[in-house]
Amino acid sequence: MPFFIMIGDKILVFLRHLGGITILFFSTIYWIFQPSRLRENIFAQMVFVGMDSLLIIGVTSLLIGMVTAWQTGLAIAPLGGKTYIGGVVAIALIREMSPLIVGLMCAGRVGSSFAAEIGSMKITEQIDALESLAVEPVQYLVVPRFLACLVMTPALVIFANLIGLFGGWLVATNNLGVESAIYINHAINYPKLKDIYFGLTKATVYGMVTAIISCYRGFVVTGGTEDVSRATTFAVVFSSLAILLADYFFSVLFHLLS
Amino acid sequence: MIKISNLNKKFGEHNVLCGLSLDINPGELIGIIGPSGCGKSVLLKHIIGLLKPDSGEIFIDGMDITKLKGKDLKKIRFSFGMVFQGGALFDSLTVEENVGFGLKQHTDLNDEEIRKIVSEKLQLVGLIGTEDVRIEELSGGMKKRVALARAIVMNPRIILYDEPTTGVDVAMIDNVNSLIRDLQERLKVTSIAVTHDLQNAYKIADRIAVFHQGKIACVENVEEMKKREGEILEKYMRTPADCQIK
Repeated sequence: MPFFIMIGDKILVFLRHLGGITILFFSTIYWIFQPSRLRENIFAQMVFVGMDSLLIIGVTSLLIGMVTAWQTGLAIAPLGGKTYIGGVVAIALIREMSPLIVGLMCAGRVGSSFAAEIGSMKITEQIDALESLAVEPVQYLVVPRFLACLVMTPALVIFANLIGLFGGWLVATNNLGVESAIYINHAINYPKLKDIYFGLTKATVYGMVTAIISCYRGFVVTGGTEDVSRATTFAVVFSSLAILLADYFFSVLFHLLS
Repeated sequence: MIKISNLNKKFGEHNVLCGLSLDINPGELIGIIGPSGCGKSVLLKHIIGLLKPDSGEIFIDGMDITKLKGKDLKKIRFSFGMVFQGGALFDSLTVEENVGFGLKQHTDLNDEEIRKIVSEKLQLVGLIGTEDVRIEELSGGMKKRVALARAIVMNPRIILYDEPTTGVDVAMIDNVNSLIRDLQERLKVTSIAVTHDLQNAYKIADRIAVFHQGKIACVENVEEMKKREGEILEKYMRTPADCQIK
């Protein structure tokens, strides 16, 4: 019996979090359209989410592009298809790898920071202080982070695509003996516009998911610093899980739409 | 005039406010004393509308803040300034940005005008010249002063102090008390200060209310409270906080 009670409790906790995340999402949408003076704040968050992620996204994308080219080359070279590496790498990166890598990297770097920052503000009464100064915490804290993720994750995906393709080119031309012009030609001509559109749509959703889940967990921090560290872990784990889940549904949806 | 009527609040199984009633006159500074953790800060958060009671009313100039939402609640909050127990200063901002935060969010003043007002308020709390200092570089006493400057920057009619001398160096406690009293005389506001220290309450308050087991057990002026100090400490300050525990 205690086992079923424990399971029931876990389900209730999960549903409460899900409800809280949903409410925060709609609340954020509402506050986006209310008058505010958040321009500087939004810009600062865009720099944090976008500019400050360039190095880690660049390195990761370069390596992913190189690995993808290697594995693809090794698999299709015996079939005489190594000239198609550029096209395969491009489609893999644009449709799947870049949005996923950017999403997961943002969940790790940006999500943990959002949860820790808002959680720390919660336990030091800074969020109460905001309210006492007649400032809506969702508008001041969540809206800039949400908008920054919304705008910067697609931008990071475009950057990741370019760097990944460059990584693939390095391996294809230096190690697999593919002509540079052939790689570039296939990389440009294989992907269709809808592949780029699908990739950017995914990235936008992953950014929103990360922002909302991480900010939500920061807001529900209780007690002291111990729960801030739990919030950070929760933000990264659940944002990553939500991104992977969304990735699956996107794959099915885009397949149906194609 | 602030009128608190039959206020009740429960967190889980813990009764924090149990039919609390209190009237606060315009222009007075009332000290609310009680043991640590008894719910004094919860009461302050109800008065400013950060928490909603399970039942009861809080009238601010005839308007029940417990029923207000959205824009109406935001509007009435302009009447308040609150000094939080730990200061609750925004640690990513400088002293000037903290003190001028309300002005920047709610007025059309330019940066120069805001800086001028911030300097005036910092001068009032004895911190002139600290505008560009970061919060982590301040001592406990200085943080309290910055919090006080932030609380008065929008010229509120009501100031709430949550344990104003907690975390302040012993040598600076009298300094903070004098500052609170001085501001009270100059600004002519209505103030509520909660504290667990009766001696500090004597130094700042016009009247003192004793918070006991979720209610106000008695309200006296400072002279009367001094006469009854022994009885008050024995009867109210050494007993459990929860109103259901007898």
